[in-house]
Formats: sequence, C-alpha cells, structure tokens
Amino acid sequence: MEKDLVESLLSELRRGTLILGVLSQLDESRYGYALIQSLEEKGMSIDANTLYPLLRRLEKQELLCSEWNTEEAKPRKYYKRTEYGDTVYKIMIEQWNKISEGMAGLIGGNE
Amino acid sequence: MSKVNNKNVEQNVNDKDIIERYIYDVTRRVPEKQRQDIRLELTSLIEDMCEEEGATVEEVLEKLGSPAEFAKRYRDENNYIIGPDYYDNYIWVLKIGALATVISSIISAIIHGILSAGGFDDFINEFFKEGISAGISGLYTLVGIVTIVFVVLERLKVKVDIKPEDKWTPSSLPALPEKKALLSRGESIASIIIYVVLIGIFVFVPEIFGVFESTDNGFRSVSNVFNLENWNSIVPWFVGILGIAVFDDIVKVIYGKYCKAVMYSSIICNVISFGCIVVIFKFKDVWNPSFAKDLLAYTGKEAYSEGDILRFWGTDRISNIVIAFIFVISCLEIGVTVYKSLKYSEK
Repeated sequence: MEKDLVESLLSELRRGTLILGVLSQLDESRYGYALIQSLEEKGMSIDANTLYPLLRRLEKQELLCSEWNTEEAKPRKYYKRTEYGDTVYKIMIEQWNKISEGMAGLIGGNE
Repeated sequence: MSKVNNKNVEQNVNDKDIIERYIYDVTRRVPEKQRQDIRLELTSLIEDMCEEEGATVEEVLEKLGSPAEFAKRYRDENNYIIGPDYYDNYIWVLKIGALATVISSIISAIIHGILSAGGFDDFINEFFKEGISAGISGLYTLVGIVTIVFVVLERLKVKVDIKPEDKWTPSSLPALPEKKALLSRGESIASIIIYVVLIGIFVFVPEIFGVFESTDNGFRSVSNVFNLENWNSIVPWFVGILGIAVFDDIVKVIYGKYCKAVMYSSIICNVISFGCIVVIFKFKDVWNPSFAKDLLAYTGKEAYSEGDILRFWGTDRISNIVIAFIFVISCLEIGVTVYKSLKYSEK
C-alpha cells in the first residue's frame, strides 16, 4: 500500500523531467532504442513502454517530427525536434533552471 | 552438428512466434490506424534489445512488461466515452431512469393484467409476463438512450472546450444565479418519470386507448383507437420522442439553471419531437380505420349526430387536432424557456 504511494509519487516527479530529457537528446534524429541507450548512458533510465508512447504523443503535440528509415535491414522510426519543439525546449530549460535553483535552496536549507 | 543447427532453427521459429504474439497482443488494443506503425516499431525494438543486450526474447519481453499496460500507454489519455465531469450526473440520471422504467413497467403490467379478460389467476399471470418483458426491454432502451445522450454531450463539450477562452479575470466570474433561474432536479425527475410512463404505455399497452365493455370475466375490448396492426412501425418514433425528452432533461440537470444551452436544447428538442409527432400522426396510419364503424355496430346506431367527433373518423381532421394541440404546447414550452433563459442568463 505505502510502496504504491511512494512509487506513484516518484513517477509523478519523474514525468516532467522525462520529457525534458527526451527533448534534450533529439536535436539530431534518433530512433527509439538509440534514444533509450543515450539517455541511459547519461544517467536517465527510461522504460521502452514509457518512451515509445511518449514519443508518439510529443509528435502529436508537434514538438517532434518523425521519419521512417526503411533503407537499413530493420525499419526504424527516427524522431527529431521541430522548430516549435526547439522553442518549447528552450523555455523548459529556463524553467528547469529556476526550479532546480529554488529547490536547492529549499532542500539544501534543511540540511 | 546438424542436430545443434536444427535446435537453433527451432529456437528461432519459437522466438519469432512469441514476438509476433506479443506484438499482436499490444496492437489489438490500440486504434486501428496506429497498428501498422506500432507493429514495425516494436519489431525493431525487440530485435535491437535482443542483440544489444544479449538477452533472450523472454527476458526482453519481460522487461517490456504486459502488453495490456504497454497498449494503455499508447492510447490517448482521454479514451473514455463519459468523462469525470459528467460521470456523477450520468449515474444519477441512470438511477432515475431505472426507477421510472420500473414504475412504467408496473403500470403497463397492471393495465395489461386488467385488460386480459379473466379471473385473478389470469391477472397475476399476465401481470408478471408483461411486467418482466416490459421491464427488461424498457431498461435496455433507457440505458441506451441515457448513455447515447451523455456521449453526445461529452463530445460537444470537448469541442466547446477546445475553443480558446478569453483571459480569465475575477470579474468574469458568473453571477450567482437568482433563485428563480435555478432548475430544480425534482422537476427533471418528475419529467423523466412522466415521459417514461406515458411512452411506456404507448409502446407496451396501446390497447388501453379503446372502448371496453364490462363482462363477468373482466373487460372485453370493443375496439381500439389506434391501428395496432401497424404499431411496430410507430413504436420507434415514440422511443425517439422519449430519447429527445430525456436529452432535454439531462441538459437541464447538467446546467442546473436557465441559460443559453438550456434554451437551445429546449428549442431543438421541441422542434424535433414535434417533427416526430407529425410523422406519427400524418404519415403512419396511426388510427384504427374501423374504430368508428366498430362503435356504431356496438351501439346499434345508424350514424353519428352532427358535431360528433367520430363523424370525422378516417379523415385528416383528428390528426390535425392532435398536431395542433402538440404544436401549441411545444410553442408554450419554447416560449417560457426562451423568456426565462434570456431574462436570467448572465450578460
């Protein structure tokens, strides 16, 4: 019961940062699995069953655009930030910096 | 050596099979137009994960988690037919509707029981037979009607909500509604029950509209006012009228006061149900053509006197009177609603 609560609080906390993390990696086009790997390398783990639907949603919101590459052995869908995505990404970074500064003050002050 | 190869081949076939099953189990739960895309994307993903992580197919699929969960995340979030905003009202109206249906079936069953010429046993027999069948088909119809109405309203609301709102300021808060502007839920309950009972009678026991003679065995029908042989083609129009009336009441319940939405709904609903009435009485052979003749035969008279309405049986005149009557009532209702809505809706 309590474990569920903690888990749902944590996933809520992570949700917004995942979007920012995903947008950060898509200045160049990447396909889903490559994106999971590059996020993992940099310390952000994301499950495929979270990422794939998320990519689709961000595309629907016109933050990303996609293209199928069928030339290689495996067909892969490559995603990339759109111009609108760039703008939104920049705004999100500013906001993130403000939040993390503020939070550092709040949480750091308690210690 | 070849044995090992065979085993590998077998394993490959197995893997392919289980991957296909996994992907099928995800894609069957997502909207049709995304299926092909998701199928391709997942195939590559699973192959990539197997190769790069050196894991078996089983391990990879376990990591991806249950197909149902995966599919749920793929679907759009507002994948519901009745959202949280309307849910409470939906359940409430369903309960009222169920109550109304029960009342309506009991009334229909009583009428049916009384009209079935026979003793007390016959009455009980007919009562349960009619009551149960009217109750069951009535409930199906009502749940259907109420659900469709709420689904329509939900879609309309989504459309309305997408429109950009003017910048909100405290001064744009709506005024507290005047007491007179409030629509009471009690009235809607009464209206729904009355409609369900009335329409129930038209649908299930139209034979009550007729002339009966009292015999030792109960009542015997002399003649019916309505053309019961043609009734099956008329019933849907009555159900339509019921649906429209329920729609109007649901709009009133949701808004709770006189406003533009209630006004438009009242106008549209009254016009449509008036249309249904015109169809029923003008184009549907609703009257029993031999009613007047049957009565004459029963009373033994030669003809009706001047001024007797039955003289006009078989002419358009009776239909016209009914239609004119409904027309006046509809106009009155529209008039009152429009007046009150304009008077009380916020400027």
